[in-house]
Amino acid sequence: MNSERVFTALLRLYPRRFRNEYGDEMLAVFSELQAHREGSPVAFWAFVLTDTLSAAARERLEGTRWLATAACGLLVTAIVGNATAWAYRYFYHPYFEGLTIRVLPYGLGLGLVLGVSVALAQRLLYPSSERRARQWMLASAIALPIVVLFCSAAIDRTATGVLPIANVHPSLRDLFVLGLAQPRSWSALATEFGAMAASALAARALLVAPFIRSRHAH
Amino acid sequence: MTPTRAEFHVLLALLDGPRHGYGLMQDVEELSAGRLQIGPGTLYTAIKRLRTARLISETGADAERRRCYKLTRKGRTVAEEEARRLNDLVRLARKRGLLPSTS
Repeated sequence: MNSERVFTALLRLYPRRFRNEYGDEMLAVFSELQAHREGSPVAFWAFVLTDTLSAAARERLEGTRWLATAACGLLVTAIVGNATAWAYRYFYHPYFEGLTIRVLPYGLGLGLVLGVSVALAQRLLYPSSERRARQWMLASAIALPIVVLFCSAAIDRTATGVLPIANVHPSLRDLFVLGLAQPRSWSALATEFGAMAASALAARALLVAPFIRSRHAH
Repeated sequence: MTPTRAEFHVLLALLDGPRHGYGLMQDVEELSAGRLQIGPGTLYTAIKRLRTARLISETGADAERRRCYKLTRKGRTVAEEEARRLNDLVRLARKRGLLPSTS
């Protein structure tokens, strides 16, 4: 097996899109590098291997950042949403009989939490503002419906008192598994989804858009 | 964006005009007096990031049909900002006695 074939095999460590875009060029550069190399073959291959492994790992990690962003938004919003519902249940008093958490403000509030948490996660994970702007929509599109399902179920449990009082301290299983129950009605779900989307977009506009605009001004 | 060490060297190499991949690798090594050697992986992940941030762009192929890259106006501004930032840090290090004073 000659050197080019070994390097072509190493290129498979990179994500396919990256390989399709730069694979041929990288192979050409590798050939020139090998033709002009000085020193032992062992040192040359150690250099090529460490470079390939570290660069491929970075590139693979880059490809999963959107998932980390969505997960961060999802986790923070689910915790805040469920904590609100559980707090309502915990501090419930007969004096508040008939008082329920309204779907619309609850959705608006959670959307705000989602927008802020996703924007903050992106500031940490994405050094490039342009890329951050594109990835935001993808992360939110994944996180939003899941969060809505969770939180609708949390409201449902709170309002109807389905769970016994002994469960006021939710376990991780309660938070992620029992949360995925049916929402009360499709119209409630639609209202909440719309409210969440609107406030998440508003939070994004406030937190991320000015930053992007200032970058484009340069 | 704040360029990494390899990315900043790529931007510096492109100040002299368009370069192809191998030319960039040689320039980076020369500019850093041999202290920074980048392989094809580091070079092309840097090129991808710089292209995404629109700091460099692709230009026509050279005589040997190798893809060449050039610095954009935005890339030049970012390189200037980074150079200024590093210069300020060096000045601060001198002021604190970490580096010998030039005067």
